[in-house]
Amino acid sequence: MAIRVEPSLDPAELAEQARGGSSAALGELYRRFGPALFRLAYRLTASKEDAEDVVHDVFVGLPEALQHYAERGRLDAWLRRLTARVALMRLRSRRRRSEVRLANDEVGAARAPRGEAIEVQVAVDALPAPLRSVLVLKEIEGYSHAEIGDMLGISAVASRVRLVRAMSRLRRILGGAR
Amino acid sequence: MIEYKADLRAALRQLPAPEPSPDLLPRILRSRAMGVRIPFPTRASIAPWRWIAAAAVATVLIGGTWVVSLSLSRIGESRGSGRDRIAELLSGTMLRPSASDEHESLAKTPLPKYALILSGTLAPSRMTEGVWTYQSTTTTDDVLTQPSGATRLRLARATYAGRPAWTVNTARQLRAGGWTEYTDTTYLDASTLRPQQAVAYANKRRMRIVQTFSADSGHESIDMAGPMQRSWRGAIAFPFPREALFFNDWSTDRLAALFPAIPLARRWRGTLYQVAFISRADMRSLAPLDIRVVGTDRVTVPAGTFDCWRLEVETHLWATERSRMWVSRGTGWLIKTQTHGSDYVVNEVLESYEP
Repeated sequence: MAIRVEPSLDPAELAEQARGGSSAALGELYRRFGPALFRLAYRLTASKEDAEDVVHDVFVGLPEALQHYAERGRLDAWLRRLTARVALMRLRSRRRRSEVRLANDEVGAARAPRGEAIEVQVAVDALPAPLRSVLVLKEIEGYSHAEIGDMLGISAVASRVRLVRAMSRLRRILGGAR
Repeated sequence: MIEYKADLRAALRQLPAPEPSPDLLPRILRSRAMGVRIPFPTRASIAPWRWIAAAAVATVLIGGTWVVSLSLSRIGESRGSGRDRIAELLSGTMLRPSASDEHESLAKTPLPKYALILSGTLAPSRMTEGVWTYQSTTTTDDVLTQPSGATRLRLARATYAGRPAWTVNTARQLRAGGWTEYTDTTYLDASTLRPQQAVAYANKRRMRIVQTFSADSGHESIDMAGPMQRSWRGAIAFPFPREALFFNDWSTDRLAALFPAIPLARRWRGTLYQVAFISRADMRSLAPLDIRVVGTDRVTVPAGTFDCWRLEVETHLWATERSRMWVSRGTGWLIKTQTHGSDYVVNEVLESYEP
């Protein structure tokens, strides 16, 4: 892909160009932020296919979505929230369709070659999506409970409760702490 | 065994994730070029009644799309290109999630940057038995420095299948936990230094991983007991020649065992393969690891002061990550490793060596 823009452009300028329909700017935004957004989506959906679809949808819809980006905060933080929302939407729709992901049992192990990491990953993947979402957003992504509540449409207290449940269930599965 | 109570959070943050497929950006740009637009819900639209309305619309859309798609696919079957065009248009959107057959093939494994390190160029006679202990600290935002555990590497002579071998054992100490047992053991052929077999246990021996390697392939079995009981089996054909050096760990800790035998020199560069997890063919299980000597430094660590080669090491297993390593010019010991993350730096330094 030979599309390139001036590498010195800052994210705000890239956003402005992407908003105007520049494919080169969209591609550059993807190159700068896409891999990190993919990892976030992957951790939320526990599926590489779903994560790629989430990132696909985020970037395909980005030029229009940028109309709502007020440039009050950092673009990467805004993109992460947007990606989390799209990933959570996908999780909800998957639950509504009662999809059973046959490959999901193994996907965690595929990422982690050694025992400890495999166990933690398998245990995280085994959590129900509502608990896993809070766990990922809080413990890996570092969002506050208020922000998580906002993303998930629940209260901050509910987010806190879900995190406690998620951690407790993880520890029970892993058999480490009592 | 992880001391989960204290280190679960740290373990969660260290979970690796794969990289997106290289064709994701072209797919995005193709979708845009074909006019696909995906609106995102605004905060106001998350109200329950809107969800219901949206669900109704989505149902109609999906149903309509399915009918149209079905009709076009039938037309496509008879006319050729119609179905492809619609499939391409909708591919990857929420209306048509990508098929599950996009498994990453080994063909997409990054290529080595430098010449492969061949067994014939190694100097295994420089290897010595001993135990090397490394302490790790993590500095976040250039401000907060905290201890982040330790690693112990033990190298000893052994025999494997009647041939001279080395055993490499690794033990890890997490931030607040005790030392793990020596339950991660790899047998290296004494002359080629290629792994022959690896056995690892975890979590009170409830998990057992066995990897067996031949000249051109690797096999793996993982069995997990307890409440999450399950098993995996897998094999992989190596895309590198049988004389090429590789190691079987997802972290770069194992390099410390190999450095004494690698002929580092000014402007030296070489690539070896890193073979991680091989039970799943759809995930990247091996990748080149590129090493380049970029200079020399005198480095002082708790174990002493060493004249070192400064190396740049690039791994591509989960994502491309770069580290700096300092290797003693005299002994070949790994003295220090420095890895930069988005907002943190991890330093691992040699604390002690015991013969």
